[in-house]
Amino acid sequence: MRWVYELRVLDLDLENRPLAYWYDGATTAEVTAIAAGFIGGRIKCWLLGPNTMAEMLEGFRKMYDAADMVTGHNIRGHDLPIINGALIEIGHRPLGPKLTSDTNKDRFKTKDFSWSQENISQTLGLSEDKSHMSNASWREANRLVPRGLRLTRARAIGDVKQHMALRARMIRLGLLGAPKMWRPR
Amino acid sequence: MSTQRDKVDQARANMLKTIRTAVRLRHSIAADDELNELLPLAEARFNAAVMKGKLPAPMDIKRALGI
Repeated sequence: MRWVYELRVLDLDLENRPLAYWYDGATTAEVTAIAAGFIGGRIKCWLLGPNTMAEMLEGFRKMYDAADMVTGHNIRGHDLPIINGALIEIGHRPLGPKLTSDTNKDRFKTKDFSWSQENISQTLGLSEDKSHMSNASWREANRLVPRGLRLTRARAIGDVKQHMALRARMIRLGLLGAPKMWRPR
Repeated sequence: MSTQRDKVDQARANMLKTIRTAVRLRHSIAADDELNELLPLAEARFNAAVMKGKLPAPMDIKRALGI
């Protein structure tokens, strides 16, 4: 098949912390980090603390708007709606619709098999490790103290690197379905 | 114009209409069969290219028709 245009595919991941009790043990979330990079390019990372919420979200939006398609693990169910909630909370306009390739939602269907990014990456023999964090590490990270911020940064960037490799492997093995439009309204 | 003549004209028109309808239907069913086979393959190839970050070139109707 001939092609005329190289699509700009943005791989992304966010980290969030619980912010307020809500219902049935659920909490509301606050974005603490966003990592994003175009396939084949450098990964950029914004951290709450060193960056304001507006800097993080608007910095990400520039990349999002420049992308033809965005990809990540469960981005339609988690990352993108959380980012839009955060944008609305600070009084900014939400992200618009975008073509998405979600390695959790568009994947081959299975039963009784973990499709966490960490598990499926290990199962498929990828060498890119997820930066594992204990509960104690998450507590440090979510307090935004210097060591915690380093952990969050390593985690977010590591997740994007691992996801880039995971997605490429899933495409090669025919485990990933067609991209779908994400429409926030 | 006699009644007999009108009946003949009507019969001729009915016959021609039936043939026209039958031929169109036969080709339409064949076209649907071919489209049902072709379109999913074309869509899968398109989606596979997009997943790899490539936007396929627009289809050339002359090439598609082989002319």
